[in-house]
Amino acid sequence: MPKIYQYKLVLLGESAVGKSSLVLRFVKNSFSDHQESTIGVDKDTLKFEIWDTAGQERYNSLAPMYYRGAHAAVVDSFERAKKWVTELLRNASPNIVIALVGNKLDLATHRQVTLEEGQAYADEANLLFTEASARSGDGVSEAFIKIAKKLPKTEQQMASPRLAPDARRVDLNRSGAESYPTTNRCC
Amino acid sequence: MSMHEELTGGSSERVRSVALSCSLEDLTLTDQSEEQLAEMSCVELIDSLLDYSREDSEHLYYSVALLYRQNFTWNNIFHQVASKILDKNAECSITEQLNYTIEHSNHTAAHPNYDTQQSKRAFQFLRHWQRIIPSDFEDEGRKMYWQRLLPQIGLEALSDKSLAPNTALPPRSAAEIHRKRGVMSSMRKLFSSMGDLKLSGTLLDYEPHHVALQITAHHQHLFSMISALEFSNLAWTRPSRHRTAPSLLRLIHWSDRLSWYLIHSILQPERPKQRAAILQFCIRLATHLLDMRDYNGLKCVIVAMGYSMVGRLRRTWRHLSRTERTEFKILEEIVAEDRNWARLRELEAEGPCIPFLGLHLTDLVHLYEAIPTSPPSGEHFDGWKGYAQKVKTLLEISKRFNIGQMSSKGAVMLIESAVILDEKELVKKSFRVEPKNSVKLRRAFSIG
Repeated sequence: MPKIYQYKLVLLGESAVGKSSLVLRFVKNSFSDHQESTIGVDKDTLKFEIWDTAGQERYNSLAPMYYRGAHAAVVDSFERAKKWVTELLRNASPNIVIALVGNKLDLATHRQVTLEEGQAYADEANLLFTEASARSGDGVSEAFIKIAKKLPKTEQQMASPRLAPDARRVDLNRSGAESYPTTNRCC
Repeated sequence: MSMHEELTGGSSERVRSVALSCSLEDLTLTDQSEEQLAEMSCVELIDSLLDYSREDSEHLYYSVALLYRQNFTWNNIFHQVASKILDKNAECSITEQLNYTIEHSNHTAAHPNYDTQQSKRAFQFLRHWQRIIPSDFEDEGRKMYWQRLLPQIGLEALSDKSLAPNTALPPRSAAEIHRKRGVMSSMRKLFSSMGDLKLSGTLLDYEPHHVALQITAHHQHLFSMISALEFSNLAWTRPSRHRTAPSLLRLIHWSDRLSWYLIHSILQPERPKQRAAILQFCIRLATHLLDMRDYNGLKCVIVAMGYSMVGRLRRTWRHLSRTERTEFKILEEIVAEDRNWARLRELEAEGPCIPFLGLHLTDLVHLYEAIPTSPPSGEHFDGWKGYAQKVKTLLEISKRFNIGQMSSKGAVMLIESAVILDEKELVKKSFRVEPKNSVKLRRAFSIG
């Protein structure tokens, strides 16, 4: 019987590297019908709880709070990747899966890092490495599927049956007055 | 009454006016602690400088520029001066103001939107600075800074003699110099006495309630400085953010500082019980901030307490009572990120408050990203309307909030002036006060 697993995934990177558009692309394109960030891998379903902290990059005190308890992290900028990776290994759970995603693949003429350079660094630091373009959509879902395949599937990651389907959906215009369905805390 | 008594006995207003009435050029502060105090005083001086509508004597600019020059690194000077000037005139950019000043320097007609008196003074200040310390404007990197600040008028305008007021400094009599020397030594004494008072102090010298009041009043002040324009086009994330969103960055910087200061304070004492006392203080502080509806402050305190280097101190947390731990847990859940910050959003929607800025900045980025780029973005009216509405609501709830003015801001000054270890040092410190092997790696209770 297929099982549902749930993971917390954080996005890290400098401002304006396209973290949010990557998620927007992933959530909207791949799953436009039911708008849930889930992926099917080997008959099982993986549910991502994606934490995007875009806009808060200048708060250096907040970042560790976000990646605490994360199972996966997407690092979205090559220049700063080394810094983030060190911090992640120090603060996040030891089994965390880190993916380095070279974004803006469509801007090939402005390329700053070659595929080989990216891959070499990723291999050295034991990271997943992919390239994607949030604009064209190329490689976006592949990146998330790569992560999904590498995540450990343990009992702990089984999604809570009480989880309401739309509890994880983000509605930015929603005012606080409406009540949200109560769920377990994730970490 | 001697000058010293006059300075120390008086209110900060008094200190300001005395300080302003004399040139501070002889003042040299070598000690680091004195430097920090001088920095605080300079911030006050700049404040007064821009406040004093009737005081128009040139040597004030000279004095302050010199004082800054002697004591601080260049970037610091730039930052402080620019943000002060901008804070006072948050509605329009400095370039506009200075341009206006130049265009209208020979006219008396007042423009309704610009405080020409103010702009003129800001401009004179810069010009004086340039005249007294030309090197600050010569170096290539610094030139860039100024040119970015004053893109259209450039450095030529700054040195244009026809625009300059009477450039000669008033000659000084021996008596005047003597009087100034007296003031200098008084100021020095004042700085050092303030040093004893402030730098050896900790937050524990204050009541949590008072600290909460001061922090909230400070947040209110910082929020009142933010103009809607600073949110436009995600200005705070762009490379030009220091020019386009100075007040937003100031609030972010302060919030960070508050968290780091608390982490630093918690890790300072050697004994677990003493560290626990600071944790207890933080819990009480957070409770008061919640009562005062200062969610930005609340979040900063909770973030500090939830940091891994604080959370891992099992022996410290053990000194807290069960009630206190529960209290912390409840406070933490209020500002937790899960369910898209549901609890915090509910609370903020209840009425005027100091909102937690970070949450709204992320919302704005998401709203911005969701606006399609083709066809041209101007046509996506609904998207932009949503964005604007969000900014409006955020500013409304913060600007309708009023906790009143605080006469004392000692705790805020303490936090702003304290020397804080950097993150790596704090991690080391955490492992030194409670080494890894001394306790099982199990947490005192689940945090986060």
